[in-house]
Amino acid sequence: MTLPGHLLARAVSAARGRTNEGLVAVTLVGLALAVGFVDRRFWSLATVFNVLHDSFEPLVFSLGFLVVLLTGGIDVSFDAVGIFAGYTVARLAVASPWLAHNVPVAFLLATLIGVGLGGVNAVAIGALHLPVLIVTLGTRGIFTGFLLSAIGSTYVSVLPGTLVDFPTRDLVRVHASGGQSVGLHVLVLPLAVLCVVLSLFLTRTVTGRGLYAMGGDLEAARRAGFPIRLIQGGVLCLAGALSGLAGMIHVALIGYANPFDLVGMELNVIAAVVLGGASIFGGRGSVLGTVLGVLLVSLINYSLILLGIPSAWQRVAVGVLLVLGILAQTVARRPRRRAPTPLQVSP
Amino acid sequence: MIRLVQLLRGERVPWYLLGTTVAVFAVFAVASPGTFPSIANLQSMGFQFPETGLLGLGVMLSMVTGGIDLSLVGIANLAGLVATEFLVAAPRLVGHAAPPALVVLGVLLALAVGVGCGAINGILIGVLRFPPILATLASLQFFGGLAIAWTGGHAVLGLPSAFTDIGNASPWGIPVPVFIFAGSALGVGLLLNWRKLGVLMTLVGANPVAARFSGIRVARVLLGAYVASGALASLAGVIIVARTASAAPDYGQSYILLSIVIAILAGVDPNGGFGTVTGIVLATVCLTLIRTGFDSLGFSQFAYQMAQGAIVIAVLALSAAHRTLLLALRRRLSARAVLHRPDLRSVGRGEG
Amino acid sequence: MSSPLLRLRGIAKRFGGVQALDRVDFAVDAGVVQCVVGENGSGKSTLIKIATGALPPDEGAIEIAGRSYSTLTPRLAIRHGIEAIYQDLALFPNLTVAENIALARYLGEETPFFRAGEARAIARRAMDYVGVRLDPDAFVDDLSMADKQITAICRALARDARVIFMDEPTAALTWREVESLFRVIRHLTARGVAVVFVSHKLDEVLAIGDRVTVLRNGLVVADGPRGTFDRRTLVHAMTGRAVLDQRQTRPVSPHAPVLLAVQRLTLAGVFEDISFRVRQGEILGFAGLLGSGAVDVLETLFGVRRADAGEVIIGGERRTIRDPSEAVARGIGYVPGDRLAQGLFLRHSVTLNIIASTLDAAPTRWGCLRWGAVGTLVGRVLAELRVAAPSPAVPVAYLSGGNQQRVVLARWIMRAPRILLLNGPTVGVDVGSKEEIHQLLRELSEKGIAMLIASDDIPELVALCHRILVMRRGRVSDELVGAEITEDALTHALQA
Repeated sequence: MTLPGHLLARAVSAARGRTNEGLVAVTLVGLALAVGFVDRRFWSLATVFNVLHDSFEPLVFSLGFLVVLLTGGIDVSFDAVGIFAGYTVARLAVASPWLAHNVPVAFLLATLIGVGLGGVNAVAIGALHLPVLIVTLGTRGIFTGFLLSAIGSTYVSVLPGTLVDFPTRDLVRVHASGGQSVGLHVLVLPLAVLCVVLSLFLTRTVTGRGLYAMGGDLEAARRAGFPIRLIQGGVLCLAGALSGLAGMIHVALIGYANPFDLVGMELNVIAAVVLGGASIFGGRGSVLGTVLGVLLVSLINYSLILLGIPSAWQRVAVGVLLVLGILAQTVARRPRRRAPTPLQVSP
Repeated sequence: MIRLVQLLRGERVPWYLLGTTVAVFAVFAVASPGTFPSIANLQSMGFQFPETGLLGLGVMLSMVTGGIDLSLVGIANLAGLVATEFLVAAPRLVGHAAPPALVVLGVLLALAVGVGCGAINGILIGVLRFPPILATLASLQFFGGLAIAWTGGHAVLGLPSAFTDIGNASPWGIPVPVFIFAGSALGVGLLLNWRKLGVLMTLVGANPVAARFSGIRVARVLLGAYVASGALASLAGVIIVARTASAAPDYGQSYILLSIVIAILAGVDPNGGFGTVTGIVLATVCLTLIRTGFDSLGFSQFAYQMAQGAIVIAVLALSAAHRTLLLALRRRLSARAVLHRPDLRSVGRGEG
Repeated sequence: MSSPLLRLRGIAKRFGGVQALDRVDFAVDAGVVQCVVGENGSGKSTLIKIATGALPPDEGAIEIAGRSYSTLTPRLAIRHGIEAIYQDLALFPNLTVAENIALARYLGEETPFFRAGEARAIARRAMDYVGVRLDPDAFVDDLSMADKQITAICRALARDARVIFMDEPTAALTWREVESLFRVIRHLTARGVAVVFVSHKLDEVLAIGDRVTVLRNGLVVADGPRGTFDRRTLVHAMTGRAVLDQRQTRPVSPHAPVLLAVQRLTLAGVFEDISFRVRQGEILGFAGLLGSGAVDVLETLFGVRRADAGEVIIGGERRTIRDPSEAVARGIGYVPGDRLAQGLFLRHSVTLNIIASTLDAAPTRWGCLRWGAVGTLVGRVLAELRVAAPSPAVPVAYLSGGNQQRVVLARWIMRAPRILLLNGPTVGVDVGSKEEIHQLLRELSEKGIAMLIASDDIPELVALCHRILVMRRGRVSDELVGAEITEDALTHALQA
């Protein structure tokens, strides 16, 4: 190939991203254009803010799912962990006014609860040598059952203290001409920081690269000297922390705590992560891709509502989207013919 | 009778599961002697477990081929819904028709839906080579969404009693669903052990590359497996709808994972290759026993969920320990086996 | 002469009832290519594992840098600069070359942070040491086998390896790539690194080795400078027998019908313009390694891959084969190169493995398989091929390599193919079984089955084939017929 050809190929490859994030970004933009074309109301700040708002909770869940998926495991207990943490903190806040007035502490507590539950997962998997999917199927039932029987099954219909104000804590508020106003929720800041930190962890630390290594070839990772058990345990605790955080976000944003919530929506998270370019077999994926995938799913759901399509079709839409997304990925990832590259061996 | 014995002989009976089931029964029978072992209780269980058992059979079939089918609940709901809409609308269309024929038609319609949905899965997975977990995730959304969109989210009522008898009658004291489940279980057992398609399914699950290199038409086998799963799911859908006398478009969300739990408890190797129908039956019965046992003892259904999770882990740990014990024993007894034993760790990476 | 970098003294290891290594003494000097030769089951892999700390020995000591250990751990071995590169390479396909090379080093140094630029620098340094240039940002998944191996070697060097064990490194390399690898090895030894080249390929051992150690049944039966060995003495030491395969072929009548004719078969980038004919009862050999396209031709004929151009004429009729099931329907069978991954259903019984290709024609009653009748049929084939198994219900994983290969053959015999394609028919098979399988193949050809054998085992091709096509870089470069076929002639043709 000629030099300009080489450079072009390099540029295209960089734009595409390691896991085809570019593809997702293009899809996102394309979808936005299409919807905006159909309904001009789409082009407003409200859209941006609302889609972001709807993405907070699934994003954090997705990030938790992603880190475990990178190592080759599928953790299906995340929604159970989430609601466990969120509901427990809500109940504790009802009982303790101090907690109810200390929102950051509430979030921290939820995260810690998540770490604890993630730790249970870690212990179970470490002891049983079984695939993550199967063990978390079991722990999921245990978490839900424990939550509902030991902690309570009653609705907390109004959050106490300053928690109740949380949904309206906006970073920026814009007043539109029609007298309405939309706000960009303050959560966008800490979550942005979370994404950056996580991304740095995955790309700039040895342990982070180790996650990818484990997903690529577990045995090779073991032989290379990665402390597999430790990393697996750590990543499950991290996923637990993120799930706990996400659960708290759910409860705080929605304004009430229903212990029956959340369980059953794991499919949306998996779809978002996969659409974002992560491989279901492990070893591939990125924070950026996951963010884009979550935004894509949120955008679709939002658009369907905007266009007046009954919410029932949302599920169908997500299903079709997933199929198209996988098709696109398989096509994009066609293995290139492996011709031996000429070795330049100095004599 | 002889056939039955031979059929059972062809299966590996999971002894640990049988033991657990018996133990569970004994425990609850002792704990609440008045209510638990009563005929009424057993009968009521007999109305509940077949639908989950059928779903478990369906999941087992997909796992035997090395995949997983998450869409079965969606198929069940859709199939039940189609049958219901037909049975509710038909009398108006035809004037009035003889119920038995209509009921049969309704069931056949449901089966057709199950086969059709299963075929969609089979094409996605067999022909288009989608990873099964993702394909069935997507199709679950699709089928479920269709059902919800059709009914607008509410349940459909008005089923003729001839149909609801399927879910509520018990000739000779045995609930009709039990007959359906037993027949299906026998059918699946027959398929896996004695029919060519079933044997091919176990081969494809064990080593898809070797299956292809043996001249096996892998795509066709996978299509057959998922169609069969879909058919089983549609039967479950018929039972659900008949039993509850209504078609709720998103019934049984908890069944999705429950059916996988059953398949795993039954000892289906999620990496494909082995499956045992008796295991599915036992696992279904065992979990139902626990549930009704908890009910009769006044435990909340939440405690049951906990117990379900704990049982899965406990049984898996037991069987894993059992396997390593056996391996260690074999190693000691046979040197040749060790020297020539290749690394049997799963090659496939997908977690089901 | 300075003291050896690594020395094993009196090493013994037992697995169950088998003595894998028996009082083995082994030493590796700096800057030397030490070859370890032996058949499968001779103890080669156990030796590597013990020397690199992956397995503890039952008895004996390991001496490195003046210290004596009764057992090593992988970390300790790595710290002393002892590394192994196994056949599976243990690379991360989803990471780049630079990451693969550098991560190992990062782990050793216990720094938490990973910088892509630094990783690239480490990789470049290692590659310069080896004398090779690869794209550090390429994904290992996209590399050729040879480049992957270079990456693995660089990874070992990035950790300042002093002794590198290579386990069957040339198994998946083309001839040119083997030459390149040898250049790399000599480069390394010139810098004082010791390379232990573990292989069963005698030609390569004789080409690259400085010293040779021969293992048989866990014992060191010969050990000395390469000059003291030649092919015959090596074979004798390895197998305990004087003479191996001799060329035995019954001539094929020129009037025998042509069963398969291939014209200008082409698969872009892999092979080009392949034309040949095979007659009934003829054994046609394809000499050349993976990159030459020999195996790919067989796979294309079997329908695993689809040709871009050319014609395949079976039994006089033009056919397009798009899938192995179509090939099988046309009377073609295929014994794949990797029987464990491609040929066998390890956890299933011998019976099921054998019947796998003939299920559609299996005896049934009322739609159900008659296992009894199947058992009889299978039993007949088992006896015919002299498969040694405790019972047909035993999982095929428990059989020896030779018997497993017989099971694969049995599967195709059941189908009575007209044409049998074989890829490396005796890879990983012990010597005794090897000869027996060759005899079986000869019997099959006498029954009229046409066979195409792709193999890198020169003596095997010489012993069996009526004709041999030599392939290089995707084209047929030479043809040897009848009396022209000798080991020297074939070796020469391959190296040309």
